Amino acid sequence: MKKTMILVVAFMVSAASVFAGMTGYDVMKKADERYTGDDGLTKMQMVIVNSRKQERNREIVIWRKKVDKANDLSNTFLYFIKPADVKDTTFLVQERADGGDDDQWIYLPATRKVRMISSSEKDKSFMGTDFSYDDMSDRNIDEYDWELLGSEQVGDYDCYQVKGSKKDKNDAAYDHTVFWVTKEHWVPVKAVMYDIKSPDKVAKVMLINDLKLIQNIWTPNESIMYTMKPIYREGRDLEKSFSSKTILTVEEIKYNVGFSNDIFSQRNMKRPASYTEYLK
Amino acid sequence: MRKMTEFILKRPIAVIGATILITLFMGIFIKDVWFDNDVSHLIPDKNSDNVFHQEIKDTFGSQGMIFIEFLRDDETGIFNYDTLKRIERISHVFEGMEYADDVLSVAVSNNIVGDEVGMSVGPVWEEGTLDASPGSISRIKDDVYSNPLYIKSIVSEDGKAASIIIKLDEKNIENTDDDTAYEDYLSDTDYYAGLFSGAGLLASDPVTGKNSVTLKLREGVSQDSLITFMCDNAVYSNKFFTRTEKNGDSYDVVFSFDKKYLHLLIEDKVVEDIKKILNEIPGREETYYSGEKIVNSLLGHYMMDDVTKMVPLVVLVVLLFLFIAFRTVRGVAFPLLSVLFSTVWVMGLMGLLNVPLNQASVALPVLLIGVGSAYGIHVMNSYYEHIGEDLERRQIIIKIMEIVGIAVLMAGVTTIIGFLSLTSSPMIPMKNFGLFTATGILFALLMNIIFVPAVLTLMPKPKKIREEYAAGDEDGHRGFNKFLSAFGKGVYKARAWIMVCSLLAAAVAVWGITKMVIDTNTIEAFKKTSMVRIADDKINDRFGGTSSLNIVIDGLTADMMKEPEVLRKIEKIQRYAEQQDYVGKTVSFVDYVKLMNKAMNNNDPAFYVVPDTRELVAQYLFLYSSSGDPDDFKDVVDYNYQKANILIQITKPSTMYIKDIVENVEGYAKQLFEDTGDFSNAPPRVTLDRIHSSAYRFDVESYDIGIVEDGLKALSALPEIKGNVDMNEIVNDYSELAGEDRASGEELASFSLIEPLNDLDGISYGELEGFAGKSAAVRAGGTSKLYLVVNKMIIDTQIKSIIMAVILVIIVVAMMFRSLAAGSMSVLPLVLTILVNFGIMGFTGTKLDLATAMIASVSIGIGVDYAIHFLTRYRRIFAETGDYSVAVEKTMLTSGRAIIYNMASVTAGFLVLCFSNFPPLQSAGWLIAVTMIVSSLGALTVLPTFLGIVKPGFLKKK
Repeated sequence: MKKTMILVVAFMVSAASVFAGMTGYDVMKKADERYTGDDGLTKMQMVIVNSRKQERNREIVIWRKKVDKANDLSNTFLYFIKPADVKDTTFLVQERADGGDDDQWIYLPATRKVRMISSSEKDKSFMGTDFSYDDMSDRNIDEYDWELLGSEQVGDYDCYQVKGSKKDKNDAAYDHTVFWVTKEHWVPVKAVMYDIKSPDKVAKVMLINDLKLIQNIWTPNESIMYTMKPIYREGRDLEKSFSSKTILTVEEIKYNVGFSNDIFSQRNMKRPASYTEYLK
Repeated sequence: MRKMTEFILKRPIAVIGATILITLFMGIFIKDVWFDNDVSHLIPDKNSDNVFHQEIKDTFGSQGMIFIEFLRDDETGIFNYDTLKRIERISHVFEGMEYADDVLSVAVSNNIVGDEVGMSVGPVWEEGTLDASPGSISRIKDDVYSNPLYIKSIVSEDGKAASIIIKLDEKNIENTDDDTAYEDYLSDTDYYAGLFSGAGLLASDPVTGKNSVTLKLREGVSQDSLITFMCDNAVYSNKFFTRTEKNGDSYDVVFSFDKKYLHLLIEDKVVEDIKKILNEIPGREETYYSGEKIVNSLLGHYMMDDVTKMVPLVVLVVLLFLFIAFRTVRGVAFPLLSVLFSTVWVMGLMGLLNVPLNQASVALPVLLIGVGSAYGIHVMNSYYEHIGEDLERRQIIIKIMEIVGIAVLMAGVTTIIGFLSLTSSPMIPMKNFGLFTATGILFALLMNIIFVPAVLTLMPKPKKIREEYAAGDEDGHRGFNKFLSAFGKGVYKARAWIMVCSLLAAAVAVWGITKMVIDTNTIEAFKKTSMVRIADDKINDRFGGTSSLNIVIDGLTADMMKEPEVLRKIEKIQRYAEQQDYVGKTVSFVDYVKLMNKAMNNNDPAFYVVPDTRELVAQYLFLYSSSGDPDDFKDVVDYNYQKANILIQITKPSTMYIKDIVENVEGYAKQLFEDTGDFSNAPPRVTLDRIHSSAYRFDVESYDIGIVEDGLKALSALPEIKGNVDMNEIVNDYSELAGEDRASGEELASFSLIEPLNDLDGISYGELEGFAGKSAAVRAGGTSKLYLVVNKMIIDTQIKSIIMAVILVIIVVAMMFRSLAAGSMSVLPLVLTILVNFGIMGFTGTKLDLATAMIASVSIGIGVDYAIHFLTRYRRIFAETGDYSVAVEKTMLTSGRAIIYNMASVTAGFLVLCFSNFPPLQSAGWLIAVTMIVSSLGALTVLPTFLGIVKPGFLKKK
């Protein structure tokens, strides 16, 4: 009896401390507002693995900069180094101040044309990876209903578990997503996306395996996005039932480089500036 | 023999008990016997074509396609709302099945079309947006026919038929045990019940029965809206098939848990599902389904039917013959029991060892019962002959076994040899068939020399012994004996004629053999009236073909399949293949690349060609991957773009035609890819553009672009270059540039060209071709190719197993008679028999295939018994009389009669095979029957004729 009492008290105390004033929205707000540098230059390996465990390797450089602090707008410029036959392909994303869909352009050197890409289809794959355009773009947390589900350990990290569903279902790529946000550094280290058509089925799982402190910013060193086969059921081994996965590994990253806004121009898409003066 | 019999007879109860126990034990495993008709399992795993087949499967996914045809042969055709909606629904149901790797149909296959921003990839219409307006339907029709990949693949040229193609993923199936499966079932049904209740469709709470849950829906839910709801919520696509039942004015939805379904082979599951779903989602179209995998499954079903139909029949036949011969209970019961027991033993053994039956070996029980009963007849014959003697029961039986045991043993051994000769086949099922039939014969033998004597010692002497046995041979069967006696005399008199006739027969047979057709045709293994064959013909009428052949181009380096030159060659191979007889359609990666090129150039049909540069191809693919599924091309090109798979669909799965197709197309492709000549004679065609782009790539790796670019300028200034240069010139020019320093020139040249080439990263096909002299390995594969291999193995096996059987039989007979001449003479009737068999096959157009390939070995094994019986008696009588004529006549009266009885019963047994579902097995049945007649007649006529003419020495030996 005494033991039970202690347990109950212990549970109440811990529950109180966990939920102390925090709502799902608060957690996501904290995560969203976490400082990730004014700009950043990243060189990363992108490995796409199919269900037969065959790999496609890509190497990209990502230029990202907060161009409008007042409206919290960032621009992103991607430059493909490898493979050779898509080398010099570039990709530009500009967030819009009016809250509309991002503007996206792609430059294919073989066609010598900059093309605008339709951004309406958010669930489409980003350049053949398991990340969709939606996964890549910044989340506007006000567009979601957030619900704090509790807390749970993910790997080494104690995390808040938050469920987010888009308010406008017509604009959603998933039925809902559950995030695990670390209590220590407010980084979402795990996300499970549920199929828009059958809400109990897991469509994708994102995992961050390694957080590193770089220039005082907690940086995901390796992230994996799994696209699950329809037969996957929650709790089973991810590695055994993915139809495809993409592993992003940071090779080098530098924050607050201070590059100019010209990077995010169509001219730079055709003849991109060299990144080698900043990165090895 | 005597000691063994004495040993057995001392403990008959133990012997009988053990036999029954073993039979019961083995009986348990019969249910584990399964059917396997996968052509790749006919061939040894290590066979290089089989290894390659597996490689193709690993690289490009399963190549076994399943076709469901929807045919509406009226003026409307398939382009109407109802048909398209039905196809959409059924396609989505199959997309959700765990075994479906990919589903193709007008509703779900991705189309590539150009739009204002580049290309858009997606189905002709998005799920759920199908619109019944004529404008919308005709737009869909236009879109479908603007994609050449669709035509004859998922839609017929005349617009009257469409198909759903399912590609199976055998690896996707999770193995769950029954308990987990049941839990999954419960949680699934729970979830679906929740869905129905959430949508307000339920009239009452779910009704849970034994292994089934029924949802009673409220009235007023229409069938169409129910199907829509169930398709939208993937209710059909679970592993426990769900069905709807009309119940008065409302519908019931039944989720049943069927353990059997869970354990079905994938192909059986697919067949089950197709049947159910076509029924669940009905429409006005005629539907047909076929495909290599399904044919395998249906073969299994027909085989099951064969066994259940033919086994009782052959038992009946044996029963009849036993009754005619003995007319007593024990005379019928013991030989029959012993073959039935041995059949149980051997089938149980196959179940226990997990050895499956196939199209040929399904005849095993029939064969065993038919052939094995002969031993029982011998034993019982002798029993009735001697049981009346005034001796103790056990002594009589020991005596009987002494007399008849050795003869039965010898007959059995030669039959076993005949079947064992099949084990010389490289084909595992053939080997297994030979091995297990031989084992079965051995069991039947053991039954007759161990079990039957044990039972007989316990039985009281029969009260009534039939007169013919008591009175001896001469008085019974008077008429027949007269005939036999006359026949024997005649044989001796007409020996010259017999000689001439048999030589003539052999000559005619050889002529027939030259006409023999060797062909394996999976579809013709079914009767013309069978559903599969009708469906397959229907589908092949309007579509590219249900049989597949693959031509795999294996490039030297990754990304080679992005090279325009390579793609153009692949295109050439396709056009060439399409000119071959019975090739209905070809598909390759090139078709997709051309479609992308067209889309990226405002859908201009003039751009339905291979793009000009490799970068263009690569970047189209890159763009494609951001709007379509990157896995979309996985069946035509590997993940690294190093191997391409040209899919050739064939409408007639006959190895006769496939052989030509393979030889021609493979040869043509090899010529295109491999015979590119010698590097020294053909300088590499390196264009300045290429050099420029290599150099530019190099620059980014932070080498000094200046020097290289200057060099290139110098190069392009030379008037004689303009377009094509060769390596030497480049080196020369760089040397010049480096102040006549050859070494630096080479270094520079290598910087600009060779280095990146060595990296094999961004290497151009032209360069490669120059360096390697050969650019890709070409090989044909796929199921059709495997049938060719099987076909070749059948021929090889035939020759090998015949030689083996003949030699072994000669040895055994030679040992029996201690004379090589006896051995050689005994096979003479057999050689004639085999010639006649193949001759008849040639004249009647009966194809040599898996089933008919066993005839020769079987007829040697069984046929030699007649020769042995005849020789044994003939020698004994000749030794007594020294007169050839008397010997023939007397032998005819004794052994001759036995031989004819035996021949009749065995022949009747084999004729049961004519009731098989499979034409090849039917052919095997009547052909073996014919060979039995020929070899027994041969033993009765040709053998004594030769003995009379050759007068071999062994006859005089005692």
